[in-house]
Amino acid sequence: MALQSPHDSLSQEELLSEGWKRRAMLSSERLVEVKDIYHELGLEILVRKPEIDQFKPECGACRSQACREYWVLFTRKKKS
Amino acid sequence: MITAGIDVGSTYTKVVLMDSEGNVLTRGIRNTGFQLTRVARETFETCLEEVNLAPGDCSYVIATGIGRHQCDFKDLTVTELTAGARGAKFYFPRTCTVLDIGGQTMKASRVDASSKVEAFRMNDKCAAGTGAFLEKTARYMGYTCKEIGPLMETSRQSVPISGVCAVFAESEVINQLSLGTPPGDIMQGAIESLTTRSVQLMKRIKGQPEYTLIGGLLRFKNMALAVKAQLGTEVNVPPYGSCQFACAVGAAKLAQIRANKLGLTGQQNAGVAV
Repeated sequence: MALQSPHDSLSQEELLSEGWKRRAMLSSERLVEVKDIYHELGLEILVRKPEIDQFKPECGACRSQACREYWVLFTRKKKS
Repeated sequence: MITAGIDVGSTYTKVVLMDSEGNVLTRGIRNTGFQLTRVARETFETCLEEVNLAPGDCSYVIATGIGRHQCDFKDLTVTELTAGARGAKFYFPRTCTVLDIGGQTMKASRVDASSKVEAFRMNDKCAAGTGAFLEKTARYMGYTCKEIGPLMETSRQSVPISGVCAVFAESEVINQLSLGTPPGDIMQGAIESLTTRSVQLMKRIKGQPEYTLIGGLLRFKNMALAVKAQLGTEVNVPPYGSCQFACAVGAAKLAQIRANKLGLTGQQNAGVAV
């Protein structure tokens, strides 16, 4: 599932400053569906693993599990 | 000419058969489980039997939903978003905003006159904003999914359920039960928590009337009433029992359009793996 892209080394803040919008945090199976949807809408798609500090403390043990099993999806308008 | 829409959702698989006039001939629903291909085919075949048709009588089949690629007799696949927009327009042609709350996702989309999706947002992270959240809340209190509707009808005053996730909500539910809060009021609180999330999603996409609500959760009348109250405007809900079939209806309608474009008029190759 890992996607190599020139944006891999950028932090989330840097991605946002480059016009990417954070859309959702998703499991692998749901990610396929949602990628199709944003692709259909004509948007550029970037997928990253979440970082543990992106979760609220009350998420507890779910945080580390989510970091292993979930993906964060970003989109931006394609450059014409 | 008969077409079919197959919605292989994360919780349920829904099938709709439609005639060339756009009438729904029959529909079927089963738990999706883990054998997606088999369940999709069996639900389809049961529907065909109900109206005395054979697989070959179906001109075109479109599959949608998270398991759409597992449907081995489809002619085409479309996303839930496309199918949902078309299904909402099927029931309410002036729909501008669609809210779809299913077992695992909550999606809001703004659609144009031709059913093209202009904007889309969905719930983030876990299943807190979905049917799974309600099901878990009911289970914590010893109720089944089927009892959610009648339970909410008993509510006199909802209690706020602020849990950010389904796991976290458990402690809130147990706490409320220990305080003597009636289960119906807790269930209604859970519905209102979902409603708040759904209204936020619709605001993010700059939703406009008419609003059409689809998805399995809308079979609970209180859900639509809560959305209506929070939005402060009328909302459309497909006829009773049809909410969870909206994507399958949309897929069947798209199949009809596609079949017409291809010039298909009668028996084709549906039922054959493609």
